Amino acid sequence: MDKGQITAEYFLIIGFIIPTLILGSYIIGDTLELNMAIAAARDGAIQGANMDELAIYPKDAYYEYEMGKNVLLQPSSIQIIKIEAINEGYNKTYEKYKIRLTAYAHLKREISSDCKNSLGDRINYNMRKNICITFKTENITNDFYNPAFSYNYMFTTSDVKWI
Amino acid sequence: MGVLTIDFLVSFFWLFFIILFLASIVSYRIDYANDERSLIGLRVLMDELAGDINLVLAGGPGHEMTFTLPSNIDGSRYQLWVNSSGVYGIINGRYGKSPIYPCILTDSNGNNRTITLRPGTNYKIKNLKENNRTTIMIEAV
Repeated sequence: MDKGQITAEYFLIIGFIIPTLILGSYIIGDTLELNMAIAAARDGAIQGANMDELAIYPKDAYYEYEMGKNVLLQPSSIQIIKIEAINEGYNKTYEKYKIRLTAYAHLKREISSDCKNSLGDRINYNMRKNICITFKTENITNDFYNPAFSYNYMFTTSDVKWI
Repeated sequence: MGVLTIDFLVSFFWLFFIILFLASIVSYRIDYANDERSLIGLRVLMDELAGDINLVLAGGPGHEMTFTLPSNIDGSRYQLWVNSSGVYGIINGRYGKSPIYPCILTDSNGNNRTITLRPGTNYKIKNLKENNRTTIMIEAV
């Protein structure tokens, strides 16, 4: 047997698969990127909801809640129902397509709308943060990850809808 | 001598790159899961301690319980302190509180103040009647 051999069949199969994958990736690339971003947003929303549920917060948030929103220092049960993505068209400033994300969530206790906004802000923050981490774009956005960027899209979040 | 076919080598490298890609995704998830586990640990610990203080208070004078604090929570250092309104904790730069039924809380010397609890220590929570008022005393065992 000669040294290093590759069968013609294997070569043909690989030779067929790789160009097909490259061609296919161009076609489905856009959809894939958007799906990845929405999956990352959903993951982030769950992370934010988990933090709200445990009621263990970073220092600034904790002291803010201790001063006026004591109810948020107690654990609460939050369920993320769905993430809605609305394409708002091409943004010339950022040269990317703008997507507005809206999280739908359910809270199992009655609290004031102001407190719900605080819980929702954390969900939105983690959604945007997770998108930036997934696409490694933390360095081109601000401290609040607003807007969040992927390669061809930019993402903003609207207030969480409590249902 | 051992022989490796080119087919095997090419397939191996493909597999290697796929595993590498998956590993980078999984490592972020594992970090997040570990971080969350320590937060859950602190929440459970604070709620347990707050629950025990409430039980001792409800049990009336003479009632007492022993509470053991772990030396760490899933490998993370933590701080815990108690005052008359609740149990407070910090872990990995995050703060939390478990409220208790408002009461007079004293240390082993009978001073009414915020009591800082040391990880890895056993504490006795006692319900005492002093000067006709109910007091909860927390002392290291």
